[in-house]
Amino acid sequence: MRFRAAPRSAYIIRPVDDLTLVYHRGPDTTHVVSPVIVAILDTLYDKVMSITEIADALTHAHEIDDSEGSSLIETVTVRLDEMAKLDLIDRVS
Amino acid sequence: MTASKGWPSRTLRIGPASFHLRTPFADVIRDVDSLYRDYPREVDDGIYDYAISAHPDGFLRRWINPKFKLDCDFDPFEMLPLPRRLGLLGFEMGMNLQIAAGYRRHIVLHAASAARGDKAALLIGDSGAGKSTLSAILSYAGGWRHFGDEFALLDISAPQLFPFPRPISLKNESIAAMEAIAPDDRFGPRMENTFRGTIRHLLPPVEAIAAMDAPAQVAVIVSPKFEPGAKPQWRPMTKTETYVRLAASSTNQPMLGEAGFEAIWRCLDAAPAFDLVYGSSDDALELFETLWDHVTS
Repeated sequence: MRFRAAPRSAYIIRPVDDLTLVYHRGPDTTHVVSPVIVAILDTLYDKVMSITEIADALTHAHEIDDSEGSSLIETVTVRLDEMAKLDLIDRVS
Repeated sequence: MTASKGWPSRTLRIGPASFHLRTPFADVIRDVDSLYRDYPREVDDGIYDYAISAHPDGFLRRWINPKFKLDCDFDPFEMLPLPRRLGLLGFEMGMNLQIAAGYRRHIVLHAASAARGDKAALLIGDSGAGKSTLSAILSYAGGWRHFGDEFALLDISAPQLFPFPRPISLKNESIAAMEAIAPDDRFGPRMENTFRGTIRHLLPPVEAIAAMDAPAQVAVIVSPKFEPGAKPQWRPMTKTETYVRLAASSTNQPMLGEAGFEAIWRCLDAAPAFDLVYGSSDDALELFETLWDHVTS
């Protein structure tokens, strides 16, 4: 399973407190999201990537310890599923 | 009074919105004329925004056990017939419905608002939390400029509110509390046994109606809650919590798309927000004004 996000310009990102407001221009929806979702979006703008590729990119971008690899994939998988259900990103088969 | 298809009617302008009310029940129009005696009765170009008709629920219902149904421009759901004695309340409900379902010139928030000078307080919260009572207290005991107790109109391009100073809808215990404060001649008829108990409208001070075209900048967002006997206190709200509450209280923000999102964001960015809990009218005013001084000084 791979995922695709729209270009950066399709989203308005506004950090508030420890969370972030994401306004998605396509469907005109607003979401209050956690930092993990913002990081995933940041990685996925205008790209098609697999879960492993996203986890690898996050590991490098955020200097995550390799020993956390399996739990990171688990977290990313859950968050990608949530994001797809919210139509923030698309599933690409 | 003007005639329209032979029925008495009345055009009213309240802030930026105008309404044309029509019914065969002349006494209902007389009640409207009395309650809205300080409001403009014509619109500049002669074209009103919303038509609301209270028509008999069947031919004989005009005379026998009279009941009426509302027929509005924006009619998102079927309303049950109401007895003629609640005609004024029916028009109030019709006007609320038009703003909630059809108004697009500002962000409509289910909120009260009031101003001091050119700065405004936005009062958000669920129905029954005490917004109407607090806005009545602010008007008649605190000298605040009443902007509205049911809907707040947020500018789409700047963090400012526009007045929509309809009569304040007081319910049950809050009626007696305000009868002790506001002049007798500012009250409408007492309506018993409505779906929300007893309702009585309180006409805002004349000065608030006269200034209903003057906006004010949002300086604070408050979520008031009346809890009998509670110790007066406030608690800062997080921005996230405030955003969610503002967005949830808007009837038209999602329909206005990105402009709606940006308007709520600007409001959030411009004004701190607080939960306010109080146990009496005296506590409410003192706590609110202490908070106001804290925020604006």
